[in-house]
Amino acid sequence: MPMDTAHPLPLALLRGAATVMPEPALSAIADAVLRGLRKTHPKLLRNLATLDAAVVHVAADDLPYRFALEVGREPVTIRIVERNVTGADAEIRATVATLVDLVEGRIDSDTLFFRRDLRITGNTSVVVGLRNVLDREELSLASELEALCGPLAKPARRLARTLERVADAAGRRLASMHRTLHPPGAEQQDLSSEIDRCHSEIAALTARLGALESRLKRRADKLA
Amino acid sequence: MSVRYLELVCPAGTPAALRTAVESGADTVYCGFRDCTNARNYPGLNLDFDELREGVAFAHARDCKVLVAINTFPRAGAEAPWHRAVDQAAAAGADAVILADLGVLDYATRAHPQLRRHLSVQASAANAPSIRFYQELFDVRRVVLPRVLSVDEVAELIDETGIETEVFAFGSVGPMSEGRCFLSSYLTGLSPTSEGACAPASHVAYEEAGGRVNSRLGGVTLNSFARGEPAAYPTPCKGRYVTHGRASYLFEEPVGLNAISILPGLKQAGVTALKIEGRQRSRAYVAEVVATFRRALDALDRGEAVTPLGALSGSTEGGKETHGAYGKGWR
Repeated sequence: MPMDTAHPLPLALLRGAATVMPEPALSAIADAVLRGLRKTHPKLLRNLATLDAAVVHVAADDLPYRFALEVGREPVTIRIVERNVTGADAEIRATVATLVDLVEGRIDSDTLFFRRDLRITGNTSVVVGLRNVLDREELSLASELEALCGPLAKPARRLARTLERVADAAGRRLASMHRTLHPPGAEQQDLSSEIDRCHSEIAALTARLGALESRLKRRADKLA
Repeated sequence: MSVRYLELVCPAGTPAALRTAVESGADTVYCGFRDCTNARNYPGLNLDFDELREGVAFAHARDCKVLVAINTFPRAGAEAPWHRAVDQAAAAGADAVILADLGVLDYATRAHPQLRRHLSVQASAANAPSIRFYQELFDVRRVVLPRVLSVDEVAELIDETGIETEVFAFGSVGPMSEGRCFLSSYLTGLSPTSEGACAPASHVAYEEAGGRVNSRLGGVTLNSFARGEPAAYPTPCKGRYVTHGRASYLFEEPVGLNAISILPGLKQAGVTALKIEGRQRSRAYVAEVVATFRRALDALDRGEAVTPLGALSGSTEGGKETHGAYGKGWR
């Protein structure tokens, strides 16, 4: 069964709306999606409640907010918090597109991890549990969001398609500009990697120098 | 050596992954219960009894078999969960159980003589006398061979024992001591062969510092990845250790096993079944890997060209592939 690799309908809507909507409205939508999931995927909510009690921040690189998911308790809740809010037990970071693909089971999280396209910190156990619990379900965020729109589902779908086309066109223009500014063959070295390598070398040399100094001191003490 | 149909045995870590595997072309799926009785005991993973029963019905309706892995080793005096797991696998209509422990094999043989028994890779049976022991005592019908044998050695074993063999076709490269590796227990205090997890998620931590990601197990740093460098699983055998001032992989490189380009050799050797590893991976992985192997096996049956390595490199640890011990040249 080949997986559908096309991005789902609500992606542009989600990204566009999340960028411009005030936090209380976004929180209300996230909460409504969770309420909808309680009806359409009751096992998902039950399984989320059985995980270790934790607050997981899901931080999309291209959104101004984070989602704070509280699992391991009844009821499971989701809130929108500012990007700079800390204190979560675990944090998951990726782009919106990647996160939506993960939730809908179109992409393998280990593959993303190997490629470093998915970053996790904090309580790994709860993140692994969350991944597995989500992967048990065949979720469609498009369906969940459309269900919220009721009779307005069709116009919302049209709006989402328009937003997605606009976002794709903007992305292509940006990529074209990037290629013009950075032609092939003139790629800059990854300065951070170089700095990291230098740090490692300095640490190794410092350790060896320390060992040599100790040895010299021992010899000097013996000769004295 | 006999030439036969190669059975594709695929992972099912969740009910959704089971359905995906079946619909992607698996001949057989394998799964485990949601406890320490199987070697992939991770939070949120595996099936409960009702899910197994439903999964068996789903698979059987599509001519697909279901195997249940009960392949960890009971702690002294606490064998009840393992016996219960065997009873539930039988009650759910599983086609076979995959076992490793002598006591669990004995229980299954006595309590459910009609239930087919396979020997797990965790039993580490890699020579003819060892395999014959399990055949004679417990009527084991199939052995899952450890990833330590070349294709020629697999063929010799099949000739000597006449037993059905299942070999790993895609997944990790083992540390050459399967079922006997206790490296992670020194860092976590938990036994991988009794608790069912080599690097339990509860003991894994990732930290970001200065553009690098450091992975730790039980508080011990196992690896540090620079920006853009492919990451590896946080297991001690895939750790990068500093010796003489230089960090290197002392046990295993982060690289994935892929036997897709040597399927004709494995078939010619008389192998019965190919195992795809990955119950802890997502159903997207299951869909991609199972469908790729299905196409390769169908092409093999039609006498078409061998499928080359490469198509699945994105799904492997470290983004690299190897034939592992199948092509070993160090003996």
